[in-house]
This record gives sequence, structure tokens and C-alpha cells, in this order.
Amino acid sequence: MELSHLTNPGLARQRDTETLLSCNRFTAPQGLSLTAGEALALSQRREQALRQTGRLEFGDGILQKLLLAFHDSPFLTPHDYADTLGELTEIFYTYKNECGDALTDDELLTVMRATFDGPCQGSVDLLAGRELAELAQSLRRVRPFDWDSSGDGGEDEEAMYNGD
Amino acid sequence: MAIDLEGREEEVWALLAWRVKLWTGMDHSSVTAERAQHILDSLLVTLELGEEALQGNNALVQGQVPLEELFLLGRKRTNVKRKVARQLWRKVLDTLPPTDNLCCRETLRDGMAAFFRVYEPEFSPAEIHITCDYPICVPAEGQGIVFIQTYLERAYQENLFCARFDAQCLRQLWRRHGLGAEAIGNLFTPVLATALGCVLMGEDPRALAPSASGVARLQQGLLVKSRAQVEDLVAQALVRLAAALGLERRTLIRYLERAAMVVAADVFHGVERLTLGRVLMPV
Repeated sequence: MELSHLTNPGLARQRDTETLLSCNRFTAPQGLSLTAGEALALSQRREQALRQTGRLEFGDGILQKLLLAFHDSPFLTPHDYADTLGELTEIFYTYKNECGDALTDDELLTVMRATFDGPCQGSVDLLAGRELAELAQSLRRVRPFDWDSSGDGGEDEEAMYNGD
Repeated sequence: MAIDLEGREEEVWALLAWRVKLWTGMDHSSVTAERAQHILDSLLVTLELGEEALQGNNALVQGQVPLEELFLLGRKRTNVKRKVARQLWRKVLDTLPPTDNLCCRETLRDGMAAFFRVYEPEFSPAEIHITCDYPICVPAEGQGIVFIQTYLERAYQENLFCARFDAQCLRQLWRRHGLGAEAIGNLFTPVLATALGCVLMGEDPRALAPSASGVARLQQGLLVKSRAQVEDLVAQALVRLAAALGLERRTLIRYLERAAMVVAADVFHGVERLTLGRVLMPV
């Protein structure tokens, strides 16, 4: 069975759109909100980013977390809010791959937010092209990706074979 | 055996999401497609074992059992199989044939030790991580622990059969077949073939030393036989061989019956190409 037989983009899109719209109540104090059309477009952009980065998302997805992580950034403005969220989503998945999944979602979002507000001064180009690229490079140097190494000995198992 | 999950895609997706969450420690909402496919493949292997566990249980009809329950059954069965395989491995080690063949000894001893050290039934039940270089007469099927259990079961039966013969006779036979320390080949097949050949020639199968004249006579006698007739003769010879060696274990007899058909094919082709002497290697 292939993964493509299991995914249901329509269902995920509807769920994402509803979730994003429900977040407007948190972002309203900053003067930021998404329209239904923008929420849907953002959800479609997320799907596209997942496809392009060769990733699959499970559970609630990253959009809500990303939105809540960035909503009080001083560099987000109402006129480019939806577009910036879209770009940050693409950057997020790209660097999940580039970092070999060495950073958890929360860790990567924290780094993204800190560098977006700090050295990048709100520039997504600098965030993706310089800061996160350097981070990924240094991670590759110092931390080999060893997620696949696991296993246990199970040394004390009882004898059970009686097929003679 | 492939499990039929037609129409149960949403249930599979939910189960996959649960497995991915566990695999990532719930810290990652997404994984690479390769990783997801690997986890899905592992999931399917476990579900197949769960379905196998259900067979024979009339109270639980497949399709009515939630996949999560089937998965838990499969995981339990995987662990049982691992324990059984481990026990079988000990028996294989206790009955290793008297040989300095590196491929045999390293696969059955060191390779299997590595398997039991690194086998990870939770997320990689389909992977064995070793190559099992030593070939057995009837190749094992399946994946993961199913493959290893079958492999060890068959290797054990082969060892038991070889143990019926004198070590010196075995070494001389393997030497004639070029199965020395560095060779890669199954040690059991020439023993069974020679013993069956001796029965067919009317010679003592225990000596594993067919005469050149006997092999030549057998070659002549089998030339006019069809493949089915050769198989039939070999099957009859196996019954006589089992009686001569006092073989009674049902699992061993069943394996020998399958292996005898491999030997029958070798004998038939040997006769057809006038090279039966290379199958039976007379002294």
C-alpha cells in the first residue's frame, strides 16, 4: 500500500482553513487577521510546500503553531500578513529537511522567530538564505543524524520453541 | 500474505498518524515521505501478523476487528516469533555441522547474533539488517522476523539431518564438492542428494560415498525417465532413507520432503546433461 492511497487533501484543507480562521481572535489585537480566501490559499500553499519538500504532515499540522509563534512579531503587517505566513511555512518545511529533523517543530519555530525579529529584521529572504542555511550547515557538521539507530537486545527471553 | 485494507484507508491513516507521533516523540508534526512510507510498511507487516493471529479464531472475523486491535495482536505475535526464533537460534548453534566453512559459521553464529542485537520490532519489523549469506536448500520467504524464523527453522532441520552422519564422511563429501572454508554454498543439499542417490543405487547411504559405477548405472537408468518420474523415485528413496536413518521427527521429514524436490530437480537436470556425477560426486 502506497501513501498516496491514504492522503485526503480536501479534508486537511478544510480543517486547516477552519483552524486558521479561529486564530483570528488571537491575532486581532495586533491588527492581523485572515479572510476565508487567504486561509484557504495558505492551506493550499502548505500542501504545495509539503509536496515540494517531500514531507507528510500528521495531526493538527504546523500552520496554527506557526501563526501563533509569529503573530506578535513587530515585522508582520496587515497587508503582507498572509503572504509572509505562506513564505514562513515553506521555509519551515525546507529547513525541517535541511536540518535532517534534528530540530523539533518548537525548536525550529523558536529559532525562526528569534532570527526573523533579530538579525533578519523581518526579511524572509535573509531568514531562509542566510540564517537558517548557516544553522543547517553547522548542525550537519556537529550532529550526525542518527535517528535510525535503535534496537534492544532482549537478552532475557524465555525459551518457547517446541516445533520438534 | 498481503492484507486487504480496501475501504479502510482512513483507519490506516489514523493508525499511521499514531505510529508517526510515537516515532517522532510527538515533537514533529511532519516527517519525510520516505520515513512515512517506512513506518507504513512496518505497520502493514505488523497488521499481517495480526491477521495471521486471528486465523482460526471464529469469534473474530477479519474486517470487524478494528485495525488498532489487529496491530496490537500483530505486535504481540512479532514478540512471540522473536522469542521462538531466539530459541531456534540456540538449537542451530548447538547442532552446527562439523565444518570450517566460514559462510555457514559466520552467518549462523555472528550474523544471527547481530540480528537479535539490532532487530527493532516496534518500528522496523520488516527489516533484518543482516544479509544471511549462507544459503539454505529451500529458501526462506517473508520479511523481518517471519523470514528469520523460517530461515532458522530450516537451517536447524538441515543441521539435524547432517548430524545423522559421521563427521568424517561429511567432511570428505564436502571436500569432494569443493565446500571448503571459503566456499559459499549449502552444506546440506549435497548430503541429502548423496544419501538419496545411494539409496537409489542400492548402496549404503550412511557412508555418503557413492561408487562411480553406481552413479553411471543410475545415470543410464534415469535417462528415460520424465521429471515427474524422477521426482517420484526420489520421494520413494526418501521414505527408505528416513527408515534407514531412523528419522521420525515430523518437522524434519516435512522439510526433507521439500528439499528432496530440490534434489530431484538437480538429479533430473544432471541426468539430462549427462553430469549426474557432479551432483552425486562419486568417490
